[in-house]
Amino acid sequence: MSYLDAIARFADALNDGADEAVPVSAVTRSNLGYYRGNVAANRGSALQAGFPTVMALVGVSYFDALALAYQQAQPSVSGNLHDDGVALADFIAGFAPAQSLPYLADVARLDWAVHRAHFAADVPPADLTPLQSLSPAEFGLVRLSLHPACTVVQSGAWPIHAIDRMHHAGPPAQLDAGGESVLVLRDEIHLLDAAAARLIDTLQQGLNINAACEAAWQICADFDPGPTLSLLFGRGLVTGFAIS
Amino acid sequence: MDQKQRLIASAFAAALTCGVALSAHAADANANNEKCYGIAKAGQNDCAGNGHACAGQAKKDMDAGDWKYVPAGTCEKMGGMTKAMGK
Repeated sequence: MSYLDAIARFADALNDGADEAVPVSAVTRSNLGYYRGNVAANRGSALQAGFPTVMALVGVSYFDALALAYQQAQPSVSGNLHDDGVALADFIAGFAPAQSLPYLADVARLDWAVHRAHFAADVPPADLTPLQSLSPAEFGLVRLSLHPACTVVQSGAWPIHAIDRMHHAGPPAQLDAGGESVLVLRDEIHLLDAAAARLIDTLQQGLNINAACEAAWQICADFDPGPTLSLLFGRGLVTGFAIS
Repeated sequence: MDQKQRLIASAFAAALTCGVALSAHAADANANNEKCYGIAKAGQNDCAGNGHACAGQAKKDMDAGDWKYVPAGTCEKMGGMTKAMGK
């Protein structure tokens, strides 16, 4: 057995508890439970750090149980614990004991976006000089690359911005206030109207400015794209561009 | 020029005016932040945060019984709870 095979089988045994798969001594085997417990504790503490709002909403006992169920359903896919929560929001959405908290998955999406934005690479803003010689019609055909620490989170039904504020000394959120969208900018969270969120989201999908504005106008016919585009350019979030 | 084209043209003018003026400033801000990101939340990728190497021992036999799925956090403070739970 190669070293890689042995490590892979050891990792499998930690995930599924099938000690018999691991070619180790009886003493080592009996101690694997501690090893497994340490893995669970470390993954659990990384999940707590990555999803502080979810944890605050449900409390530590509930979160620990949720984290354990998630770990059993979702073996770690990365050696970096910061990557571990990638599927937690989707897991929560399908998790029977969380059905009484229907907003929890969207809050987890926001927590995850904040977590990823915090650790995203630093990328300098693009030199915008070439854009200045374009006509307005040509500008509409430009596709933008946005900074990796810039993410839009949209909730169709839940006030995720108010829920986030509530956990940063804001007033209790009103759950029936309707859906909210936010822009996560590194460690900042900004409330966005739905059309602005659609504009940025469409740009991030690689469509040009005309297409992104059209998508936003489908949500709100008199939406003015100016302030949103000024924010992206003005905050140095445009890290590249191309004319399609 | 229709209204949509006018909006994009004015967005173009506004975005480039402030974008060009601020991009140097943004680059400076990025340079200052460079050493900070990734440090504030560090400590999760090692065992030190757990106090000792056997931190998981207590969780060796941890199960996820239904009793643990009773939320006991801030979710209770939010208005509209009853309505939300009824969905």
